[in-house]
Amino acid sequence: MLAIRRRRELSNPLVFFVIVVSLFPLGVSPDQDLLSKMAPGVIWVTALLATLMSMDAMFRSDYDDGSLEQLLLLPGPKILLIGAKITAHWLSIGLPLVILAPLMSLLLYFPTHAIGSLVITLLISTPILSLLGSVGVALTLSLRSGGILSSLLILPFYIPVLIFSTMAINASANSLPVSGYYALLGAFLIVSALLIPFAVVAALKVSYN
Amino acid sequence: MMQFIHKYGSPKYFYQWSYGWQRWLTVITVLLLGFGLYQGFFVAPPDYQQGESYRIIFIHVPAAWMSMFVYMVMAVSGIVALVWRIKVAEIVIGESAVIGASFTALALITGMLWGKPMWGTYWVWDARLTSELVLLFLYFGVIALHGAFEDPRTGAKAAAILAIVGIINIPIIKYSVEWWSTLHQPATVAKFDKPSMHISMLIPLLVMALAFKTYFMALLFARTRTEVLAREKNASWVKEVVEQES
Amino acid sequence: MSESQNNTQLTAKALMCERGGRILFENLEFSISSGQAMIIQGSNGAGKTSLLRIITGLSQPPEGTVSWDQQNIDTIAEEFQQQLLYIGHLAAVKRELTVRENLQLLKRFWPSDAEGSIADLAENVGLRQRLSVSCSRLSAGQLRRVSLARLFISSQKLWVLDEPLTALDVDFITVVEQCLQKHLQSGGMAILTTHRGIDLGEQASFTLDL
Repeated sequence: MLAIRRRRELSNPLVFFVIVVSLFPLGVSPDQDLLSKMAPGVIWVTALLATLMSMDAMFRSDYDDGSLEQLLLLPGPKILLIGAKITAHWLSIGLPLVILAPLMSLLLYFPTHAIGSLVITLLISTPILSLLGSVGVALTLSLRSGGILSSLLILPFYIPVLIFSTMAINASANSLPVSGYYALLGAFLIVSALLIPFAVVAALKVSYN
Repeated sequence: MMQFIHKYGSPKYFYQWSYGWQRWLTVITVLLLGFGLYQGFFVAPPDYQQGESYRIIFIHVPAAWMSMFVYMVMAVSGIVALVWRIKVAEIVIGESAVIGASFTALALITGMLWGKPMWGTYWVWDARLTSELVLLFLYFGVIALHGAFEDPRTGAKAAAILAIVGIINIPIIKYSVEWWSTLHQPATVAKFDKPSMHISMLIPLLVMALAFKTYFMALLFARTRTEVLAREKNASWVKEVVEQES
Repeated sequence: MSESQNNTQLTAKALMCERGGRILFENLEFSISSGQAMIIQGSNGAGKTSLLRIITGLSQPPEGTVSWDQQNIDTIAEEFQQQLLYIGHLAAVKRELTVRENLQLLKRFWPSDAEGSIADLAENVGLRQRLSVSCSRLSAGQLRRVSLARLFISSQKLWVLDEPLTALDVDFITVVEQCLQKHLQSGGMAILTTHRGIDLGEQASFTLDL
């Protein structure tokens, strides 16, 4: 709800996503074969970076204006609160990315029959990105240069998501079965959704120490 | 159990009991290293395919094993630090992160040196090297986070959480990287742990692995003891120790 | 109110706090019971805010315990938080929202038995004319008023206030003082930090110097 009032902050990572993806043809070559081969990787890596850029906003303003400490002192399970925060983040960044990605994939001559798999992997995986990222921001909240540090902490954790997703898209582009990849990503999502909120609560407590 | 942990984990008591351990572990490390290096470099026969250059595995493989082992030590002390709030465990996290990163870097460098004669290039995106690289990134993260806080205890707790999240993630990362590399390149890369390894090579390898473990423990004790003294510099027992030893 | 409730106590035992290797306070002990207020005084950096955060349970002391009704606040966090109202030196006011929306949020997060509409609440803090103004355009004192609005609808027993009087004008300081007195009269407790004096009337209060 609050994010809507801060439209500019919200749209920045999305604009970043669009611009960076369009830079690749300019930087590498407009060659159709090459670009369509690179497309899943380019879109995914850019989506990772765009998510990371937006992560800081998840708790930052609440931390700065004192609302976060009030939220943490509310009676009731903190896990739900964190879950709501992460869901809100995903709705404001992850979901728009899922919608934007097919459009951007056209710019990279990505085979249209595989766009479905691109959307599905993004749909399953962007919540994982929000979840894992929230640990990073929660840990670095009380630090001044927290934003960059938290990217540094979290990027290695994104590697499995990146690998499974791009492999699934490539498999789909080559008309190979992909459901196994989806299952793996789904399992990863469920495990993260169950465990990560606990880590975030612990991390926030450390930030307030 | 709780009392046991608190007793052995109290800075003062730790400083006392760890001294003996540190001394003996150092002696054992020197002996094992001497034996392992001699056996590995001079006694073990050259490999029929790779000639002499394979000998770097006597360093590379134990270092790679240690890189994982140290991360586990770090995560376990992270749990101990968070659950029981043991000061010594907090210190162990930071110290083992630095040592672990060094082992990982050593494994990467020796792996690259070994790769040159093997593959004709310093770097191959093979599953092991890639996992090792990611592990190094994870260590960097822990070290950076640990150092970013002004208050070392807060830093240690933050690093502990990261290490615990990391230890759950590492198997997934390893698995994904392995899968990725098998898809992208056929398995032509020679594996170290073939069961056919000759006994004369295996023994020095295992001795070296053991030497690396004791070396790690000795180093960890030494570094932790120093750090305990620094952190507890206001405590009366530290003043006594300093007076006695000077 | 029953007898047992009247005897509720907040007790601190052997509290210790360190920042960057420097010990701010050690072996700090105090206890307050219903109807009492504790005023914490000390110079900048003496650990006033740190102490308040420890009392609320936001941060954990390296040594010592805080208990509520003889039970450690960590073990009864849920119960304790229901009785706790904490207003930190940060206003916890969303600048993107209007005064009305912020007050609505307050009422949603801290439901109370207190009757009254948002407009009444705004009346209490003297912001009735500014209900639809965005909080980013309020002055520091007005922001503080928005966050102090919680005092008027609070049903919590323990108030922990960090510099509640900062940036307020003389008139509103009196309002806050009256509000505090009423709270104490009805058996509440308050812990607050302040640089300037605060007049709590006949209510029992004592000062803790850090």
